[in-house]
Amino acid sequence: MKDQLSFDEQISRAALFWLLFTQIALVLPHLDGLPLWLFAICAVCGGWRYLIYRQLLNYPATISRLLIVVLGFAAISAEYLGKFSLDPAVSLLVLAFFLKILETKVKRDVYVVVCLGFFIAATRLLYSQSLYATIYALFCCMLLLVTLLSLHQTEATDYQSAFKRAGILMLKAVPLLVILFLFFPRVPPLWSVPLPAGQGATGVNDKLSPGAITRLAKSDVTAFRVEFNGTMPPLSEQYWRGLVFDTFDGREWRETKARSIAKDVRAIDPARSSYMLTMQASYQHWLFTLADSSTKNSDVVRRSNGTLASIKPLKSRSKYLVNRLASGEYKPLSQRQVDQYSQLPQASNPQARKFAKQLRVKHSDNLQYAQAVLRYFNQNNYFYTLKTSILGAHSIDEFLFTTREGYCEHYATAFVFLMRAGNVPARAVGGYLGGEINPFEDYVRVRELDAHAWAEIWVAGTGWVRVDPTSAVAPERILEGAEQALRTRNEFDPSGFSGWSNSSGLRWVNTARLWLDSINHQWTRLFLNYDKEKQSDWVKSWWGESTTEELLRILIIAVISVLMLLFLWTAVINKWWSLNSFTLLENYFSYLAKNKGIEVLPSNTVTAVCQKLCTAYPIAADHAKSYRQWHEQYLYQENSQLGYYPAIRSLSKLTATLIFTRKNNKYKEVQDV
Amino acid sequence: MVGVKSYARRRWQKWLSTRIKPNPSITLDQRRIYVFPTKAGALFASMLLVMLVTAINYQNNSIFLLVFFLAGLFVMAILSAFSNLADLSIRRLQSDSPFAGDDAAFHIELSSKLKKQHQAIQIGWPDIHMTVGSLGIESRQSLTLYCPARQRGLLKPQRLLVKSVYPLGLIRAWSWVDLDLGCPVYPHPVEMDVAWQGQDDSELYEANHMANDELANIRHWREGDTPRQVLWKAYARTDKLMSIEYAEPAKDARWLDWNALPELALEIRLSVLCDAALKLHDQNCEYGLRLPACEYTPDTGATHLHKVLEALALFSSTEYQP
Repeated sequence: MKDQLSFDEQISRAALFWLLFTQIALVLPHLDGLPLWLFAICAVCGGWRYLIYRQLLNYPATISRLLIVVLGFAAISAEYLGKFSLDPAVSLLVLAFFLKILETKVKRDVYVVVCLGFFIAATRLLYSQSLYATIYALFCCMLLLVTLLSLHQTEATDYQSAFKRAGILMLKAVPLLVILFLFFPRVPPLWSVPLPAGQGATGVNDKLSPGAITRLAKSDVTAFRVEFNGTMPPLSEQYWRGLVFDTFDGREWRETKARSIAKDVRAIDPARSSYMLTMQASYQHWLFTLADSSTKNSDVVRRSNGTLASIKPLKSRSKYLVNRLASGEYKPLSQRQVDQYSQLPQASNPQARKFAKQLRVKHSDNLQYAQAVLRYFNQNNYFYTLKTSILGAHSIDEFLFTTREGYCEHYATAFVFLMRAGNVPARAVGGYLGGEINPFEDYVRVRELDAHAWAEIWVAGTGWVRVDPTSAVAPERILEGAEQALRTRNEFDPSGFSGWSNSSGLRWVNTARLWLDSINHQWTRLFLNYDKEKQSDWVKSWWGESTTEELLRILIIAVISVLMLLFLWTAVINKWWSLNSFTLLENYFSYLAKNKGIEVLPSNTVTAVCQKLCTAYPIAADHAKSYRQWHEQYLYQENSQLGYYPAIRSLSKLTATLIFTRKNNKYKEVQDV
Repeated sequence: MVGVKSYARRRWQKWLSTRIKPNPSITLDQRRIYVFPTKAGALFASMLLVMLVTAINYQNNSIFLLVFFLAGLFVMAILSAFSNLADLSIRRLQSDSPFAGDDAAFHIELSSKLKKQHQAIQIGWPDIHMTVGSLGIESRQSLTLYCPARQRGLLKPQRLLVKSVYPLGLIRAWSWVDLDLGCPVYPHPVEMDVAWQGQDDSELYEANHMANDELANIRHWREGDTPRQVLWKAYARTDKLMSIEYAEPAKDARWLDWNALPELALEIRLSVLCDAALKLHDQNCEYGLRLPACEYTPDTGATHLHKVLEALALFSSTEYQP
């Protein structure tokens, strides 16, 4: 290595500082997904480089660098052995990002690290596309720009000016960003890609067992949002059906795999308002809709149990316009269906079976039998709570006769079991009940904690009838929502933001939260949902055509015109103003004086004119003087950072004052004499 | 290969000289500024491409936003890099002539009429010496460029490269300017004991030299007198500064004669003459120079020395027929 690095090579200390800072900012959001030991390696590399920066340590020898590389790669391949997903790729990137900093000696290395940094900022967005995540990514880009700027600045400037310059540069990029975002032709994916691992773990699952819904009651994460086009049904009526559990194996309730696609021929019911459903990325197929819903979306199929499902897993937020249908005509169940909905495993939960048989003898009508079971729940000290015990092999027996404590899924599954044991076709339904109405925008946000399970029983002559066993033990869950129901039991403790904001009793925090959520919803609606179809609709409405060639043509024309405007601004208008503004302001000042009847000789300086003006119009003296002051400062102050703004301000004030004032009489007298 | 390369370079220089004409002062404008991505720019562009493919494959609008934002920045970097050089004036100041083997120093000045900053401007000859300057608003900055002078004669350095990768290092803006820089390179002084002839003959010279002290006139100290002229002994005694004035320096004059060294080769002869001129200048003696084609009458002072040295520097072999 040479002792003296040239300007093309050397890295300024400010640049190195910002580089290290930016690296930390970039990997922080990855902390929740990637293995912790990776961050330990990152910390070692970053710390080492910081000590080099402080001149306390030397660059690592080639052998120790090699050792870290081999260790890191070995650890990543051990961690993700055989699993090809996004995480190992991102881990590798992060590892390379920090290993590179250890050997960053010249500018060239900084460019590599910065480019990796931009890419890591983008990978974070694969995990979350929320407004905050995007703003944070842009903030990281700004930090990278500050790094690049301080790398090329010769003078040691304070960080504010570097941030200001980065900000100006970013603002200048906005017009092009808007044009490219709107008109860049959106193409379908070029090849299939691995998805982020560990997704889909949250949300209502395809298995219903004691604890499945309880687990969700602590999560404040949004599951989906709904906007009604018209009157909104009451929250207590908003049963969002997603999954129908019809098979019981003694422990878990499952959906049968066979999903027949039934074409819906019913007419749209104009009395029930349609709604816009915005699903979060769940990496699952099912959609959550009200009963008797259908959508024209071609990606969605209708299943025989009346739920809707997407053909592809929901990898990103997706929107569906859902119509409500008129209630269906009655069609009796086939024998096969009756068997399916009455199926129970042999020899499971004998106590419950016995209890059902005894009760069934007293009530021959299916609905009356169901009422009797609900009454039993209501009158026998059953508790609705999150604090449930772990149940053994005969979980329903234990719940019904021993613990008597459960959340909605306990009641729903026990109820369905008792129904089936009494030969009533029944099924459990998983989904959500109610939600949070946003007062700023008219929509409902359904959170994971709104997850719910209930039952449907078959009534000959009517069809499937919804029965919510929870209403027998905790009617407030239905009427006031999950949050309120848990709050009265002192069990409301979500991990999310709304938890502490509500429990701390800060009303304004809650208002702010709702407001932020409405912004987030708009972000989803307008920005995240902008896709190929939106683009083509929008372009068609303006240009009549939206082929790829047409889009490219618009794109090129728009980009060129923006560039020309910018060039015109910087090279012509700005330059002209910069060269002539001083003279223009000076001329304007003497014009003002002349216009007010003051004799201005060509030999008169601004100071002389100002003096005359002050004597003639004492009221305008302050503004005239402040202009003169600026004028002098501008002319004689070396290296002044003085802009034109103060001059323009004082001259406009002067103009305003002069318009409404008359000449000082004394001055007139002096002249007359 | 080398031949093609040097031919291309010559053509390039020729084309440049018709396009950017030599001028002691040049203001850069769009006709003189070139922009092109640097290696870092190419790296950045390929990173953007990978990012775009990622955005398409994941149909991720946030990444689309990021890609388009960075693409916009890249384009803005072109304009910024251009505007960082535009309206920058470069003016030639004086130059310091070197002796052969030393470095010539060329002083130039950067200035701007406009209210804008010019950051991290690199200027110089790519393989020889580059220096960095920055201009604040309406300021000027002088820089010194060093160019090694290997040979005696007229040094005409190549065109100056003015470049800048500010603000992001992704785009390089540059220009080749010709400030018509040049300076004579004096011969490398070679010491040799030569008895230089006086005005007419050596005896007269000797006589003059002997008489020198006696003819001296003592007067009050004046601004411009050298310390050697001051009578320090008198100063110690009387506390008054007195100087000696050599009454007739003309008689002291010596001729540095080209023909006095017939046995030496041309360059050595010039080097010896150069050394002698420097020594005589140091001693504050009057000296003249006699070359085959021209003659410099004896005189003293820095201007005279430069005249003499320049004559030696620019002496061309065609003037001399042995």
